[in-house]
Amino acid sequence: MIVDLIFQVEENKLIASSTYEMTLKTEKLPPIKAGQFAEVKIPSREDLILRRPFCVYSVDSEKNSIKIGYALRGKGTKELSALKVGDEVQVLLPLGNGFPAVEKGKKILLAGGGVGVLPLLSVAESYLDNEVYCCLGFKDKNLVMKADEFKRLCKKAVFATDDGSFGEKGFVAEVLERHMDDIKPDVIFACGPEPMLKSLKKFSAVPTYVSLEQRMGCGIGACLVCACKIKKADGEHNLRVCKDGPVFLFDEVFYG
Amino acid sequence: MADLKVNVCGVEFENPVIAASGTFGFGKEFEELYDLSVLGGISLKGVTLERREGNASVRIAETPCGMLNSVGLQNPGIDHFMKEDLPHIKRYDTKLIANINGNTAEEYCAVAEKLGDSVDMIELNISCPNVKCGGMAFGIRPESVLEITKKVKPFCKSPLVVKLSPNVADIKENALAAQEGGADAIALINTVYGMAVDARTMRPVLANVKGGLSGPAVKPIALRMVYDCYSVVNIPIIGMGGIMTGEDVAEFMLCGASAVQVGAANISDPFAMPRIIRELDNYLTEMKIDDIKSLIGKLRV
Ligand SMILES: Cc1cc2nc3c(=O)[nH]c(=O)nc-3n(C[C@H](O)[C@H](O)[C@H](O)COP(=O)(O)OP(=O)(O)OC[C@H]3O[C@@H](n4cnc5c(N)ncnc54)[C@H](O)[C@@H]3O)c2cc1C
Ligand SMILES: Cc1cc2nc3c(=O)[nH]c(=O)nc-3n(C[C@H](O)[C@H](O)[C@H](O)COP(=O)(O)O)c2cc1C
Ligand code: FES
Repeated sequence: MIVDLIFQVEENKLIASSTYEMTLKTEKLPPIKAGQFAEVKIPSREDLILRRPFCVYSVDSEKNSIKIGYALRGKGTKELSALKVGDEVQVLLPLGNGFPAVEKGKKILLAGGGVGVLPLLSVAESYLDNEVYCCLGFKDKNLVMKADEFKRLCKKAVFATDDGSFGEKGFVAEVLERHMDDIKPDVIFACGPEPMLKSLKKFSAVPTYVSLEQRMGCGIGACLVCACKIKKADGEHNLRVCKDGPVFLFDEVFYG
Repeated sequence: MADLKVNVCGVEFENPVIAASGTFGFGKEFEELYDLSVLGGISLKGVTLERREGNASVRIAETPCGMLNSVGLQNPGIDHFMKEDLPHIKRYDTKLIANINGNTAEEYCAVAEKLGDSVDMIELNISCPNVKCGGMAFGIRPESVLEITKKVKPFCKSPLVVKLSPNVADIKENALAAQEGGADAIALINTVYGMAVDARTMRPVLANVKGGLSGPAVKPIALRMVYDCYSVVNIPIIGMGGIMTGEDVAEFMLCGASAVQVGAANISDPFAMPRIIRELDNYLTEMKIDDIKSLIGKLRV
């Protein structure tokens, strides 16, 4: 059930260069699945009429708290970064479908870039009984986030930076190539900038799911502003990233 | 509780708050949020004769107190609409308005004919700025407003509302043309043609370059246009443009609107409409007004 709730800021801290993690607490949280997202109303800015979408990558249903992470981009994220403990924000959630369910025994590979690693963290947390691997890319060591958590949750965690300042040097797909034979995943879940996602083409013989970003309005599937071209058996269709996604099959997004 | 009922060219609305076309889909997405029967009505997403995929993304841009969109009438076509979408939404006790579109006058007529008497009202959208043919092209010159209204009217088995574009020389002329063409009511405003630019990438934000502006940023324009039209037409007016609160509804009614539509507010807050209806009721109580109809056109100038 989609609800619009008031949350209190419990913590709002830097977790990497220009990237914040905000812990939010409410009275009664609805169930939220890995890969689902929320739309946050920017407080005290009536001029910003669109909510900002962020993935909910950590859910504590006992404490009724969630975590979202955000990179500083423009007006909205700047405003969020100034929020103090106790401040209130209005959040619409849970939105989208999240990642598909994986059977026990299947090996999961998480491929992520930048803040796109965050939704993958919730996948790792949801499949403690599966073998989970990850290959995560960042520009440099200052932008690395959640490395310890991924190391703790994954059988093997590989890191890539463009300049080699943390983990291996190179882009995610390049670094991953060196490890693919050891991992042999049954399914790949990916989230990150579009070029990074596209570069996973060489692995897409393995069922690969990508979580997409698109500029959004309502977040619930009604306004049709968040379209993404998806190839289905009967041709191309403009599907809604918010409602039909944000997770899609790689082959349906990056074809031709 | 005040009497919120309004009558627009013979159609009784439980309250004057109607969802604006394109911001409420075919209602399905909102039914899990709240009981749609609380709404005065729903103007459903614009439909065309054939299925349309709409424009490329990016389709939305935030602007100060507003938003631009360039969806481009993405819809499954009238046949799918009649078979799947309309029957589903009909289970709710609220008035339904079909928003019709076409590339040619013949297409508008064909869509109206297929609708038969299946909806409470037909809204002729001759004001969409986001399509290459048809759309706003029919709505700019008063002569073409007159012509298309005249052509479509005989095919309508439900009252015909002509939705006017604000991107015109003199809105009064267009309103009068719609009235002369046989419109039972007029609705205004559709979005204001505009664009957004990203100085950093040196590109337009919207893939389609230009789009339609809506939200509080357009409210002063919309109020003025409703006010102007009210002074010249004798058919009812459905007002819209930037309504976010119950008091906004009252402002439009004071300027002459018999009912209103709420668009962008649904996008920034999917629970907006039940709230707006509650606020409107509170406003009337505070103002000691027991019949909302007594607001219509009663601006004290
Ligand atoms: C499903 C989904 C999940 C996301 N999860 C995260 C996350 O977990 N962490 C994170 O840092 N970012 C995430 N993003 C991107 C995030 O929404 C944008 O960075 C953010 O909206 C920028 O807001 P702003 O006001 O700072 O930027 P501005 O540039 O001022 O925003 C202007 C408008 O453009 C929109 N916009 C700008 N960039 C993006 C973008 N990349 N994607 C979608 N809309 C954008 C804004 O929402 C706003 O409507 C996600 C996007 C989507 C669609
Ligand atoms: C995303 C979006 C899609 C729209 N689609 C339609 C449409 O299909 N047909 C139509 O007549 N108007 C359409 N409109 C215009 C609205 O119905 C309304 O006239 C306009 O947005 C002004 O009202 P507002 O400021 O409350 O949004 C659309 C507006 C938006 C924001
Ligand atoms: S944001 Fe409205 S349909 Fe996706």
